[in-house]
Amino acid sequence: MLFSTFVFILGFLPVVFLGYFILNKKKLLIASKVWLIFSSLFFYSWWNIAYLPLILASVLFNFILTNSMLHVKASSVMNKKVLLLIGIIFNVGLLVYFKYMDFFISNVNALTDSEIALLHLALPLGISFYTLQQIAFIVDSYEGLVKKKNFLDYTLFVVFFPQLIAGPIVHYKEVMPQFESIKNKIFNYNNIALGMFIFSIGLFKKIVIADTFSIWVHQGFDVAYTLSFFDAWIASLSYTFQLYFDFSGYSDMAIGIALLFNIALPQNFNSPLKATGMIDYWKRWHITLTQFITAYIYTPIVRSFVPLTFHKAMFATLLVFLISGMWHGAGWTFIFWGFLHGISVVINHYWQKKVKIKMPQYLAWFITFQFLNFGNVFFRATDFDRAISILQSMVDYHHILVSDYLIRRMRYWGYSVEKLDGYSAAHSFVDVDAVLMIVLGFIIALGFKNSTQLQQAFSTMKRVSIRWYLWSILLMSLSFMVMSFQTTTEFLYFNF
Amino acid sequence: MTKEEVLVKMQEIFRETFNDTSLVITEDTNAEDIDEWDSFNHINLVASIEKAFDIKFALGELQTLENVGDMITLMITSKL
Amino acid sequence: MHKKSYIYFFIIGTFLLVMLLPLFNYTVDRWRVLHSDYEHHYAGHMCNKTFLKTKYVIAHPKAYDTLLMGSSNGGYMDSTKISSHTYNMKYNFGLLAIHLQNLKTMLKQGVKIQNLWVGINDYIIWKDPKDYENSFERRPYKATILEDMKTYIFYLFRKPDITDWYLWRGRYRLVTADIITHPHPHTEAKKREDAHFKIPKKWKKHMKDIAPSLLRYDDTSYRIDAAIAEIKALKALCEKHHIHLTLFMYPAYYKNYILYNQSKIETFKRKLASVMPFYDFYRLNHRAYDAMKWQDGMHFAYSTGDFIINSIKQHKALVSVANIEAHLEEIKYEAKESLAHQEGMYMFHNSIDVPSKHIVFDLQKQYVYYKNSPGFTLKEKNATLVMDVKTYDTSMVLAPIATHYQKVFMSVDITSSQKTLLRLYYKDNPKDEYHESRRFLYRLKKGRNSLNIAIPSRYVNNGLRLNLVDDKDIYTIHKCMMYE
Repeated sequence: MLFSTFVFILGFLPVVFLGYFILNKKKLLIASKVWLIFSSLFFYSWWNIAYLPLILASVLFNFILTNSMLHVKASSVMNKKVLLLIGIIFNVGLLVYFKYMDFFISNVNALTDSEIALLHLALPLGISFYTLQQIAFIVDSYEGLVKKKNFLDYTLFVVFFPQLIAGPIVHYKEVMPQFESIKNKIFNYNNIALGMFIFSIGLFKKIVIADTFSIWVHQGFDVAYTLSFFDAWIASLSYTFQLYFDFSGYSDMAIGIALLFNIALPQNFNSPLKATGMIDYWKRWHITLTQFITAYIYTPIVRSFVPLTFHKAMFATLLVFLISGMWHGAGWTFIFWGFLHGISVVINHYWQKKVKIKMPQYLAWFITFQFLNFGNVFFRATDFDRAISILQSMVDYHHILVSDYLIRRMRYWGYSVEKLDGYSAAHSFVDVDAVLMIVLGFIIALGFKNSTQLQQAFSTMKRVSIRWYLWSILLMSLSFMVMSFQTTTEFLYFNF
Repeated sequence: MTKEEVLVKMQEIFRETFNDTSLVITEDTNAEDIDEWDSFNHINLVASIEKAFDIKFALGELQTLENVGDMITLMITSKL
Repeated sequence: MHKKSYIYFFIIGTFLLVMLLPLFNYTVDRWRVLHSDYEHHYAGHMCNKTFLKTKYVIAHPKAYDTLLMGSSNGGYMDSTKISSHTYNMKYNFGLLAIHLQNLKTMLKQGVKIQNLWVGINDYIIWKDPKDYENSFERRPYKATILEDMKTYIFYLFRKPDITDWYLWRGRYRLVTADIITHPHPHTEAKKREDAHFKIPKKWKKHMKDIAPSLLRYDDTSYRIDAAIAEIKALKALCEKHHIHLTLFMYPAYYKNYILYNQSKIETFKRKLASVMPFYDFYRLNHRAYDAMKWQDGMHFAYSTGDFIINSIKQHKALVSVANIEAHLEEIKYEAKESLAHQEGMYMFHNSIDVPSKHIVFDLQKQYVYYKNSPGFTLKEKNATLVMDVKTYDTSMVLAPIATHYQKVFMSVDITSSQKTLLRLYYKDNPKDEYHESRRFLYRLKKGRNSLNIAIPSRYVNNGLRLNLVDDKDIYTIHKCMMYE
């Protein structure tokens, strides 16, 4: 099920909300937990019930494993460490199998000229997220951070529908105490108001902003045969904005929905497009992922390098970004994207540590944004050739293909242009809408407070001012109207 | 051990790690206060603390440590 | 406001704001569907005729004994000449599939008729009815509650555009019109026709110069069997309800006719004749060329409409299994002959035979004169020529050729990897210069293009200049020949 559909907002959500709090009111606390779990699984299965058994098996296996860790003796063969290894291998193995098998096979085929058949497995929904979440739990269990738990609590922690499919990635200790707290069993007007407010922002970002950009992104990255200079820039900038508004909008909606249930999910974005450096960027983009990778992948690696030198840390950083690239997608373009980000973070560290010149903020922002935009071309393009071709068009100043639209405009202004030397008319999708939208994208991303800051401001307000009220119903109603116009949408991070 | 005892021992470790014998730390000291306390020295610092007190920080704990006070509280309540 | 009030006002406020959308769409009701408005439409904007007409007939189930179905051409037929109780169901781009659906709906709702006249166009063999199902102008009426609801939502929650704004602001008024209540004859169209025909000389020149209207025809995908299946279904439905079915094919203006793949049309007619007899007015006879028989390139005049009705009543032009082959032969011969004598310079589809096979020019044999032109090179490759264009000068000046007949026909078959232009320059007098005002232009599409061009002899006598393509690229010329 998608957050941005009528069936979710007007059907599923009210029913689950009412059910949860009615059961709570009747003091049927176990039943209300089961209700949430059942609803979450229903939400998950709406797409395709075929993947339900897999997530249930994963939850069951991990629960039994971590439970055994509590009872096992250090001296036995099957001690904690072995269980940890089994747990990690199982979870990573599952992810690798569904996500990367075909990638490995096609590479083996290319290298050894063999013809092994591809498995053509479809990616189970949310597997990249619930895998990471459970690995963190296994490690925490191994290190003794998890004291008591029961099966229902654990299941709810993994499958809670607001964050099940595309994060934010949460820790058991962040979320379970909130579910346990008696205070949270009664519905809270402040939280509901705040939740609706944030949800309307997220919905607007996704439906009105991100989905509009997706038109030009699709044209530029999937459809067009060759791109003119303007087309290439419109396509790449549109994608940078689409990615940001779509994913941060999704996170906003997740946070807003969870608030209805009195659960506070962690912040996932903090105006990443305002970042003035690549280190800064990763502290602002997909924050929960950065935290996970830092804590559970980067730290173990550098700890094994102690005493830690700068260069060893840089090596670990690069390695970790390659892994991150792989996590984002099974393809060389993703690995390369990870590599680009890794290198740039390393350069940023170098600059900070060795080069003592402080760069002016605007320049730092500009360089960071350009780099992000460039890197995103690899993230989105279906293969290397396509990415290179788009990048070439972006810098190919000498072969600016002039679009039919521009030729007509120039004629109108008195410049007769049939064919200019070295140029030729090409089909272009550049129009005024695209340029306006990109300008709007910059204004919103750079000029406004982000949703977390708005959330802060809203929650500290004792009374909601008319201005805030009007803005929120405007965003919500515009989103609803656009939803009624739309037929199909794409949730970007859904393929993870 | 008491908080003060831990703090004194920590100060020694800090002075050694950051090579500054005049360094003074309090419970509120965090990475912003000490120029040299970047993410690399942090790892070395943590390793030195672990060695000196014969404890181990869990991966899941490391990211929640905002300042010296947090570290000490954690150490006292669960490790020492 | 308190947070608690915020929640309630948020829900109410959002609901009210969202309702502005259907409210706006209902007020404007561009296609008059939401009000089931039989009596008005916006000046200059057509209502959803198929919806409203079907609903209107259902509202008057016993008022009519005959229905006339077809596309906008059907508008220029005076249904009163068929019978006094005939209702003209025509609407723009009226496709048989939708008319069939409408007929089913009407019969189910208790409409009683005895006769059904159905006109079909050449585009029945390639236009997909699915393209029109979800268009606002032509969404058909289906009389179930579920469909009604879907239709309401479809129109109420659509995205408004600038036209809706203009309509709301009153830029175009709602005018009273009888196109739904009394769709015969269409008074506005009659006025227009009279105005056009006032000065015959002017009109003839106009019709000679107009561009063909191909409605996005691209000669790639056809649905002949699907069309035949629709007609079979129509026939079965009429038999079941004891309705006398008259099927006829509209005539076409020659400029459109000659650009259609006639061999596909022939296949269709053959299959159709084996299903049921029909009246065939689709041919290149004098009517196809006479400007005074046409209101514009797509719509025939009322006089032609009358002619069709009379012919049908007298059972003339009836084609059936018995005479289909002879009929097709006759039409083929007629086409060739008329092309040979028709004035002017124009392109025609290569499914129509070139009237003569005597070759007066073959680029394959004469390319050596042009192979090292400044702008391009020509090389032989198997049975074709490869043209490598380096600059924009793609001119090939052909030597004057003496001919004996009124017309010369050029046949070009060329493969291009991009959209480009073909230009043919001609001279009225031998001493003239080639000029943009004396030019024939054709847009080549990506892929294989084959076309025939009919050229008045004197242009060939004075020497033509041929620019086969217009862009730098490599092209394959399969054929470039002239016959007389």
